[in-house]
Parts: sequence; structure tokens; C-alpha cells
Amino acid sequence: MQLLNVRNLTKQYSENCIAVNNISFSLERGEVLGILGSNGAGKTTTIHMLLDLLTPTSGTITYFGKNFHKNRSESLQKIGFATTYARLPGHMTVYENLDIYGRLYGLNAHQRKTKITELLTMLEVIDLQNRQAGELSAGETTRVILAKAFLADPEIVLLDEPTASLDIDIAQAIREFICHQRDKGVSFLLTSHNMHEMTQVCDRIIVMQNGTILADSTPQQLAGNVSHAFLQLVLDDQQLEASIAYAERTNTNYQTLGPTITFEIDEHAVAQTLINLAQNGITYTQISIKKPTLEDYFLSITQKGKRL
Amino acid sequence: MKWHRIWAMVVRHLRQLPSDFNKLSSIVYWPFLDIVIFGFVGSWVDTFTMLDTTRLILITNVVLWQIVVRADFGVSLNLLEEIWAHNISNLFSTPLTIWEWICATFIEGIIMLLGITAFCVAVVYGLYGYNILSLGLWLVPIIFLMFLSGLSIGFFTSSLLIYWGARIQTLAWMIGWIFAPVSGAYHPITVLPECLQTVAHWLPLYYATESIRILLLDENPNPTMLLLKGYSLILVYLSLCIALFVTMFNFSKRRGLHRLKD
Repeated sequence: MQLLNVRNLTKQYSENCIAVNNISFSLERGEVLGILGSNGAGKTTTIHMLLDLLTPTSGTITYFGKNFHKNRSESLQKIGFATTYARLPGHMTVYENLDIYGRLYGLNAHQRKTKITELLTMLEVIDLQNRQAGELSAGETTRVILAKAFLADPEIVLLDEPTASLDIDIAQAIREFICHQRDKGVSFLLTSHNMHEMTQVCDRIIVMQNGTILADSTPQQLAGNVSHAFLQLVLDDQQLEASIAYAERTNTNYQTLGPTITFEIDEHAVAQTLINLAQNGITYTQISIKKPTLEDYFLSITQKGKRL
Repeated sequence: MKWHRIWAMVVRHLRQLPSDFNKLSSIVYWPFLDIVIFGFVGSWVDTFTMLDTTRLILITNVVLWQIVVRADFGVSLNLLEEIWAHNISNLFSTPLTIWEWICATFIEGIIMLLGITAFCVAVVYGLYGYNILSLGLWLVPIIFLMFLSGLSIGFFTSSLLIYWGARIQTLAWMIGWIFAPVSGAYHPITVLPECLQTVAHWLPLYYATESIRILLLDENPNPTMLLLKGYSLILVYLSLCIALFVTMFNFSKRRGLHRLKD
């Protein structure tokens, strides 16, 4: 069942500035959809239009089968939102802040207390509940704002760069929290620069560039679009020279770093390359093969875009 | 409109009050200082005129002017606080609507009005032994007219803040005071040049301060006509200012509410 349907969404600030250009996509129940793109690709602009923080120039947004702009409050009641770029009023404690948001979502006093305690515990910030929001670190604020997004048991959660500028262990904890919520049936739409995160968390990824959608597929399928792999060998000096000569003779892309040479080859040609190296008398002490990743795909299409 | 969302916003701002020294001091310190300064200025002027009315008029009108200024600040500072806290995106990504925010501001304003009035009345009684409440029930419509005037100014200022953000935040403290010279709060408008007197007649504030003068000076005061004129004007101004605020909010959404940060 489609919880969100976006059709021909466009945001044009001026004649020469089109932030989002005629994009369409949908979000299914229990799905984690990632929006990937470099700075200025239109990710955050899209999220803000989906929250009515920014008025689209044209296009339609449908939540739960109903037009968003005609049913704004009803829709937002079932949508959570968290962004790294927002903060909370600093003169109130974490608990007081979340209590206000609980009230905005119509939770009664008992529900607010239960939910706030549960979420702060899950996000490992329960000790901060009586601390003023202005005294929190960036990582702590992000987790509190994430708790805010889940207060009203939302069906959809929109996350804008949820782990940006966080320590690795905290970011991992947040990713695990997202996966846990997904298992409970919550749908997610999230933006991130972190390819590893997108691969780990997302069922499907939309790649945006210059306000348009370049690709819409699973992380595995997107990575599969990149046909090259990296074959990395560690060799002694004599063997290194032989392998460079082999690469130049066979017109293979390569890079060297100390005793290491990395060949960029078609992923289906790895076995044949190893046979050829052996036939040329090249022996190595270590070998590693790097399969194409989402990052390789992203780099390949963004570089293609830049060339255009 | 949902009551629980309106009340949530009232609680949000009232809850912050005890721990927000800046806001608390602006509510208590400036009214106190104004009452002290103008009370003694009035006493000094009375020694020349051999009357005892200047001080009473000044003190009463200064108290009423505090109601205007605090109602004005109440609206514009509520908005600025959300901008300073980077909280606009958080708030308006919930089901909260702009009309609910306006209602919450109105209710919070009434609560603050009661608090500030009680504080000022107590200070005036404590310093000068003068009970403003002795003016009777006429005070209620006069105070409410001042309160609505302050709200109108606040919504006008907020309509600029919601579009241009904190970079024009000084206007929050400036705009209200533009009306002080022509309000009749600190002096009768008869001392003003004729053109400014004309301006004053188009302001509801003038009808409130003039009503106070009548209450203090006339033997059988009846400021009904003055108040009717004042309320006719304020209903138009308040409607226009709220309409402008909502329009500017929608214009601001075209550029994105997320850009409203300090």
C-alpha cells in the first residue's frame, strides 16, 4: 500500500533556479526510501515540501490516499520529522520540550510520560531528560529530536541527514534504531550523504542531481550498474615493475601506492586477469578484490553529470 | 483548529518564562522603571501646577502603555524565540497551523496581561499609595483596548519577521515605540503639531488614554463614545494586521520556513 505518492513535484525559486524539477516517486508501507545526492541536489528541498515547510511551485503530494494540502494537519499527525539542522528551545529541559510536542500531537499526560521515557531510554539519552536543551551536544540534540519524531507513533518518518556530524558509534546506534522501527512497520524517507548508511538501512534509493531523479532502485541494483571492480595486489619491487608493465601492455587502468598496485577491471574479468598475471610470472603476497559499491555508482553518475 | 495544539503553544511559552531571565526582566524590570521615573516626574510637575492630577494621569497612562508594549513584545518575541531556537521547522512540521499559533498568542497575551496589570497596580500602590483600580469598571474596556492595540502592533511586526527573519529583529523593539508620542500616554496630544494630532485621531491608543484623562478629571465621566471609536478602529487594524501576518507567513513558505534561523 502506498503511504506517500509524489507526482511531478517542482520547486522553482526564480527563472534560473529550479531546486526540484518535476520529480515523482512513492513510498510503500514498511519501506525505507533513501534520497541520495550531493549538496544542492534537491534532497532537503523535497523533504521540506513534503512537510509543508516549503510551498511547491507545482505538483501533487498525496499521503494515505488524500491530498496533502487539503488535509495538512490530518496527514502531519501521522508523520514524524527529524533533522540535524534544527534545535530545540534551550531554556527548557529535554523532557519539557518533548512534552510540548506530545501535547501538539494530542497525547494525554500518561501517554506523554510513557512515550517520552520509552524513547529517551531506547535512544540512550534518558539521563538527559532534566537537562536544559541548550546544554546538549550536537549528538545528544540529534537523538532528542529523533525521539520527538517518534512521539506520536508515526506511520511515516522523514529524516533529513539523521546521522550527519555524529560519532560513529552514535550514528550506528541511530541506524539500528531506524531498522528496529522499520521492523515495527514504520516507513521512512531519509536523506544522507553516507553511502554505507544508505546501503545498510534503505530498501530503495532515489539518486538526485540538479533537482531531478537520476535513478530509483535498490542499493544492490544501483551498485550492480557499475561494471568495474578493483583488484589490489601487494608485491615486491621486481614484481611491481612487472605488473606495471603488464598493465601498460594490456591497456588496463591502474594505480600504485608503495608496494601495492590496484587494477580497475571489469568485474567479470577478475579470474582471467589473475590467470594472465600468473602466466606472466607475477606473484603477490596479498590480494583483495573490491566489488562495486553504491559509492562507486554514485561517483560514476555524478561525474558523468559533471562532464555533461 | 484543535484546542490541545493551541494550549500546547501557550504552555510552551509560559513554561519557558521562569528560566528565561531576558524575558522575565523585560516583563518586570522595564515597567517598574517606567512607573518609578514617570511617577516622580509627575510629582515634580505637580509642584509647579499646584495640582495633583499630572502624576495620576502619567502613572495610569504609563501602566496602560506597558500593556501595549508587553502585548506587542509578547507576539513578536514569541516568534523571535522560535527563530532563535531554530525551532520553526520543528513546530510547523507538526499538525500545528498558523491560526492555532495566533490563537495561542492571544491566550498567552491575556494571561500575561493579567499578570502585568496586577504587577503594575501593586507597584503603583506600593510606591505612591494610589489604587488604579479605583477608576472602576471603565478600566476593563480601556485596558482591553490597549491590549488589542499591542497585539495589532505585534502582528504587524511579526509579519515582517516571519518573512525577513532575525536580521530585522531590532524592529521588534522599535515599532511599538513609534506610537508612543502620538498615543497620548506620556502627554496630551494637544501639545503635538496639528499633523501629528490628526495621526493620533486615527489610533485607538489615543481614545484609551483620553478616556483615562476623562475618568480622572471629569466629575461625571462617560468615555463611551471615545471607546466606541477606539474599538471600531482596533477591530479594523487587528483584522488587517492578522491578515497581513498570515499572508506573509504564506509568502515565507514559498521561500521555505527552514531558512528562518538566527
